[in-house]
Amino acid sequence: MRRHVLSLANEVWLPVAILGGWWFLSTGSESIYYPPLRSILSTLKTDWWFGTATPDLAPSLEHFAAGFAISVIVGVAFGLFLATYQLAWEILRPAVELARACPPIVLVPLIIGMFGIESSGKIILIVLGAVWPVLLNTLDGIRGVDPQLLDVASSYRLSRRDRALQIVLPAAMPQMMVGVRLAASISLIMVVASELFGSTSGIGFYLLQSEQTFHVTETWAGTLVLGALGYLVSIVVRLIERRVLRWHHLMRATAHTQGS
Amino acid sequence: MVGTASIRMSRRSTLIMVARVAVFLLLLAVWEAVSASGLLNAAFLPPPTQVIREVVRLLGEVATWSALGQTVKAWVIGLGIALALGVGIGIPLGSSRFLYRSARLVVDFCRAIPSIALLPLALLVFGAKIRMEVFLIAFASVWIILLQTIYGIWDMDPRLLEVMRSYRLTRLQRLRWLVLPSISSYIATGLRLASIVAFFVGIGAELLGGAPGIGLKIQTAEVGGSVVAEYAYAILAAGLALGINLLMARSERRIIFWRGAERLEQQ
Repeated sequence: MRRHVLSLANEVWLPVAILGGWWFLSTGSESIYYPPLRSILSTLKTDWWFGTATPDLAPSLEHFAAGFAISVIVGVAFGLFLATYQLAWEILRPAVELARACPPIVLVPLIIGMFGIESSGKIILIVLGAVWPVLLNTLDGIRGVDPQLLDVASSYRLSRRDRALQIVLPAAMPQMMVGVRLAASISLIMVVASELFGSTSGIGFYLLQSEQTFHVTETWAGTLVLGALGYLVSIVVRLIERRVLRWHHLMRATAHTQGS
Repeated sequence: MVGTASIRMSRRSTLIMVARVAVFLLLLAVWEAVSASGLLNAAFLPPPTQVIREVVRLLGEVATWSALGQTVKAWVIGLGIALALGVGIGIPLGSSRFLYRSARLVVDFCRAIPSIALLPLALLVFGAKIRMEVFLIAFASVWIILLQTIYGIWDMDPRLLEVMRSYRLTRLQRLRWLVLPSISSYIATGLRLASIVAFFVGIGAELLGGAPGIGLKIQTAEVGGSVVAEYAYAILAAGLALGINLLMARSERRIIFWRGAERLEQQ
């Protein structure tokens, strides 16, 4: 019990100290750029806690969810394809490497120019940014599957489909999850970037508008909302990862105990 | 036997090279066809021939090179700050369990903030200047280097520490001769990953925030309605990104190779 309390105190003292320090240092602040934390929090409450700006969450979250989901599906599908057909990968490799190296943010004005500021353009932008880590990590994961495992699978005469679903994909899963995690954070960045470039709703729009009209307290509040959203996304992805990879961790744990 | 096999191999690789070129030509042809067909808004999709001509023309202009230079300058400064802070804070965090657990929540939170989200705030505080871009780059990349440094310290051989302790080195000597060389490959990997994020955020700060550089050129072309120039600048930015990627990957490999060789010698 005492140990739990101590370890909890160890984890939280710094965040508490930072927030406390921010609160006290900013109290009565006259600077337009650094409003008191108290007024930032009250703006947060009136605008974002079921307040006037809360509906702005919907388009941002929708675009995020759609873009992220498409990136994962397309990335896994193409990763599987390219891992199966070695020749196709060798031919397409330079094109893929080139596309991946291109910072997706330079595409923002081009794609929005082509598709307008509606959802379709924004979702395309997210996919163009987030699909590559999924694709490349799927490919790497599958190519890295232990050949012995494949030998065992073929000696059991598993069908092609069973082999893919029950042997190859699970074995490649840890590496694939690395790509999924990257894709989640890129998706969120692309949502914000596309909204900052041009939009009529969304968190990015709220941020942009408050910045351009010098509503600094709102800018701080919006930034905190996005920070919290980013943190939430990373926690959810980590939970999914833990669930998906539970057998993997179990297997490693047994391997370790057997080894030592 | 070997002869025919190697001939077959080289024939295969020639075929692959030809196919690779064909893929690029095919992509350009599709672009040209879509642009000519007016399937998408033609005003926003100029034909590749025009864009390539514009890229060549822009490469002959001093203004283009100075914009590329500004982008690289902010990237170098921001990444340098991130490197100094990340390694400087990462070493104590990696060496002390108490410090690591104290900082964990703060680092996790800051790392998860979508870096571009800080742009409006940074614009208010710093204005549309290089300082703003440097701040965003440093903020986005410092966490990656910090974590790599911590992992590097965790991976250090404890026996090495003991041996060095018996030599009675000062703290600074230990840092210089033991810690930094041991974690250099981790830092190199962190630096490579961070450099990509840094470039991405830097272009964002220019394109969306108006800091000087190649990203701002894309934005001004867009505002001025010259779509061909917009595409040309975007291609130049992508080319710079590719160059930076290759450079960082090569220097990482060199550092890791050097470390690997040193490890082998030690064995």
